[in-house]
Amino acid sequence: MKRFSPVTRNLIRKPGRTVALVLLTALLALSVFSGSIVILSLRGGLNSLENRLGADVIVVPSTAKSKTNLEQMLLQGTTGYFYMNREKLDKVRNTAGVEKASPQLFLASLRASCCSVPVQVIGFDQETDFTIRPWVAESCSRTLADKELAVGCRVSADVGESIRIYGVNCPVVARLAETGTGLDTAVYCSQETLQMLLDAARDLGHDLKISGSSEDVVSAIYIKVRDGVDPQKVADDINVHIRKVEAVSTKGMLTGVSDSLKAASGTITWLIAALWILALVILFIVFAMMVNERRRELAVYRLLGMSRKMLSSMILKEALLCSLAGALCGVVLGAALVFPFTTLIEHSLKLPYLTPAAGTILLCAVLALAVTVISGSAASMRTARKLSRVDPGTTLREGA
Amino acid sequence: MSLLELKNISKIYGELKALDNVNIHVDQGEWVAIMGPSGSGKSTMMNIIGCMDKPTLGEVLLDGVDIAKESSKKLTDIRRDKIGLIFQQFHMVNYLTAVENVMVSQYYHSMPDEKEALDALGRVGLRERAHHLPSQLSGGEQQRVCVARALINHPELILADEPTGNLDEANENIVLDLFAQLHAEGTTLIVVTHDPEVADAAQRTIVLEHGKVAREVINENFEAQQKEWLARLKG
Amino acid sequence: MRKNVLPVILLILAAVIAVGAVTFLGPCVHEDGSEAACAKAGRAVLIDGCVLAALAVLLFSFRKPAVRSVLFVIALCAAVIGILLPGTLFPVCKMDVMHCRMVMQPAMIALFGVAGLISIAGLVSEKVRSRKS
Repeated sequence: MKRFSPVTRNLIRKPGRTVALVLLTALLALSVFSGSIVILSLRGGLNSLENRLGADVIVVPSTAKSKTNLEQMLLQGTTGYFYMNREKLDKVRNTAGVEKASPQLFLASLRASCCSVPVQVIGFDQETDFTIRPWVAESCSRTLADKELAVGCRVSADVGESIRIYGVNCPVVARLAETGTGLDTAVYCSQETLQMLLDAARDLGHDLKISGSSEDVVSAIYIKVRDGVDPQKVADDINVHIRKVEAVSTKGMLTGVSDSLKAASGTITWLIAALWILALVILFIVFAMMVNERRRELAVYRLLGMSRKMLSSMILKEALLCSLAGALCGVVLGAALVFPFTTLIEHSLKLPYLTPAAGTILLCAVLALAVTVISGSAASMRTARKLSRVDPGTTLREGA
Repeated sequence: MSLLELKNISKIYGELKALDNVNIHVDQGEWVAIMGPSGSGKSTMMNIIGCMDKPTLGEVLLDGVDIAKESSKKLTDIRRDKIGLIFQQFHMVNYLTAVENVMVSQYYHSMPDEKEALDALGRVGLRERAHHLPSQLSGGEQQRVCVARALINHPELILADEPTGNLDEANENIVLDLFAQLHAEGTTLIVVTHDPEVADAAQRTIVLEHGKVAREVINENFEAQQKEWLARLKG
Repeated sequence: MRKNVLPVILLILAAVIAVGAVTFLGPCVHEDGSEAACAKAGRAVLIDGCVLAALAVLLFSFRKPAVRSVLFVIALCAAVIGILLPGTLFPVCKMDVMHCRMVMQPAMIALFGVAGLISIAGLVSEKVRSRKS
């Protein structure tokens, strides 16, 4: 025997109203869920960038493009390469307030065998490095030998495969953890390997604008200042005393990213708020319209012996069921929009973007469900109260 | 034995007395018609007996209990448990099928039982129309569904307000035959009507005028009518 | 009227898939005009979208529940194939930031997924209709 409930019958037999309520609550849930995932991912990306940068100051050649290239490389994974004389490294190390300084070399490949686009190659000094080495160590316990590569998680090459760069076959020995930054699209090797690749590129006729040996150049110098020393002061010192370089405080870079993140988060929050207000207003209107539409129907229920409390409860149950169905649809749709299109969102926002852990995502889903169900049900309360007060005798005589 | 007693009932709206010191009684198993022109107080009396309203003065004893003093919630419970209501406008829920309209009556009384609801529809000759919506039923069929709905919880009293008001002669006869059947089974019926032919089908008619009981008319032919009805049923 | 709601939605989805496959949801385009690794996936998606559109048009033409059920089953198969086209049945580019990976693949999976759900809903609806009659 089929179970009978006036609540479910009403929802099924009035599909237009039911679908409208479900869609509205789905919109509420979708906006909350996907909005909070995007905001949390942006925050995660910023934290990740902070952790990965490691350095207080980064020194690059003073050409106008270098600083931009570095930021784009770190945030968006845009490839770039620039070089300065290695003697700058000694001068930087001798600057007051500098505790540690380690060089990095950059190279952009053209159509490496793995990739359809150029990939960023970053060579680091395995003895002095303090930014990439700890990260590589999470995936590979030993140092990288000649030609060996550690790849960022977005590079399409697995451990055991080889990547061909400027004719040199480089085996992949480690795959690095996701950072949500442009660093995920780069490959990492020892300085010696990169010098080898620089030579290979020049042998193939590519003009990298290096005069002299590849051993005499560096692309960037990462600096850790001593405790208690202001990194900006060290950067200013370097800019004054060392020619043809530009020292960039990472705090400044992060502040810039943080400001952009705040702006993006603020926009998203306002968007969610606007959607919520609109959806709630429409929900209230839909429920208010129900008062007139269902007055006679509910008067019949009162005549048949339904108490006011039962009537209220029936309307609230209908709202609850619609809200729950809508909330579930909204969360599923939100997930379908946010997760498969993660790369597109990151690419569009041009900010570090790291999807939160599964537990956090689940919590966001539960919160979105709860908030939506409560709001949807609350929107019906006024209508439920009004309709429960319907006088059966008078109402049914109207229009008789 | 008296099932319903209205003692010195008055319903006063400001200066207007819709009912003025009315006294009536209805015995268990009796079929009583309440007749009167428009404005005579029939509807007011119907609302009071049907626990949809309370009198200003007087007592309403239903099965020995004065329902005039009960709370609104209690009146709802009494209406649900003891009274089956039938209306001129039918008042079916338009998105529920015939059987679901009957089950709704069970839903808040005990538990919906589709088999029992189908049996109730069978009694009124509508089992094969059980899964039709009200819009797919004729006026007479809708009223028969309402009769089934009124009966499903085995109420002590069936209260019908102009039950044939919206029906043609053929359907009116069908509904009156149903009432005759119910009466033969021992159900107490109160039919409020302005139609003398409908009133004549009852055992006794109480005539209201200007909120007072003008007269009571006993139907001397009632037993003969019942025999004729039974003969027609067997034939 | 009611029984054409799902075919209409299916037709709209198919149109978005087909038009998208040659425009904003399409495969990568190399600057030098050479074919990207994902070009075949793009063509396959376009063909599948056209097949879905044809099935939706046929659904308008037939009223019998049995015939419509068969059409919905074929549409479901086309949708399932569509989900597998970019990345599984046909290769896409390797880098995450390529247009085919960022946009075409997830969008087509989502659109064909919805088309699949619509087909299932259509099947259920035809089954209910045939039981009622």
